[in-house]
Amino acid sequence: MLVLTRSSNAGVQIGDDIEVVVLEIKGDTVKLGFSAPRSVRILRSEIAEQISSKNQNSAVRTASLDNIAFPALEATS
Amino acid sequence: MSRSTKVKFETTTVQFVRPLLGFNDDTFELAQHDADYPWFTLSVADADFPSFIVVDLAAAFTGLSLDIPDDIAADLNAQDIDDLLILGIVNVADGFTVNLAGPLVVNLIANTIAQVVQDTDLSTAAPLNGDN
Repeated sequence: MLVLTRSSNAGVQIGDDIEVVVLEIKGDTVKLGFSAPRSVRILRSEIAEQISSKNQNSAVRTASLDNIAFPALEATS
Repeated sequence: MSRSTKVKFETTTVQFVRPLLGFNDDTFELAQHDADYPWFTLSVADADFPSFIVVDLAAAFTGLSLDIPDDIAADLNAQDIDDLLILGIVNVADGFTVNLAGPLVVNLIANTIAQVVQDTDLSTAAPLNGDN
């Protein structure tokens, strides 16, 4: 992992079209700003890992779909 | 909100405009399990894995508010909100819970699909009010 030291309002350029800027440092919290093409997905790491893990845990084999009993639904608030 | 899904079709091929988190596959077959209930299956084309059970969130949950960023709507080529089907991935092994934090948005006109991760505290394992 590349490690860089940056101060507030300093940035990092990634490739030609992605920039990360340190907007604010307060205590142990850093506020970051991102400039990137819209095709680049930017997510908090813990959320990306959580959703990825949930997707993988929810995946089944196509052949098993016929054996699943679907429950009847009532809309949940 | 209606219990039955408004969408009626059997199978359509959809293309992920951004990869589904955790997978590299981008072409899936979306099939309606039963026209009377809001259940669908989403299966990768030409392979046995992965497949997903998904449910029309509009039919399964009331009062659910989701954010679809403009950039993802543009990627989906979404022109009209009525063209969009919002699906939740169901975890069958977990007792038919639904991931509300990572819904799938399908443009039924362009046959595009994307997972739209919500930057909120929505549950990744919301229980369905089913009878099993």
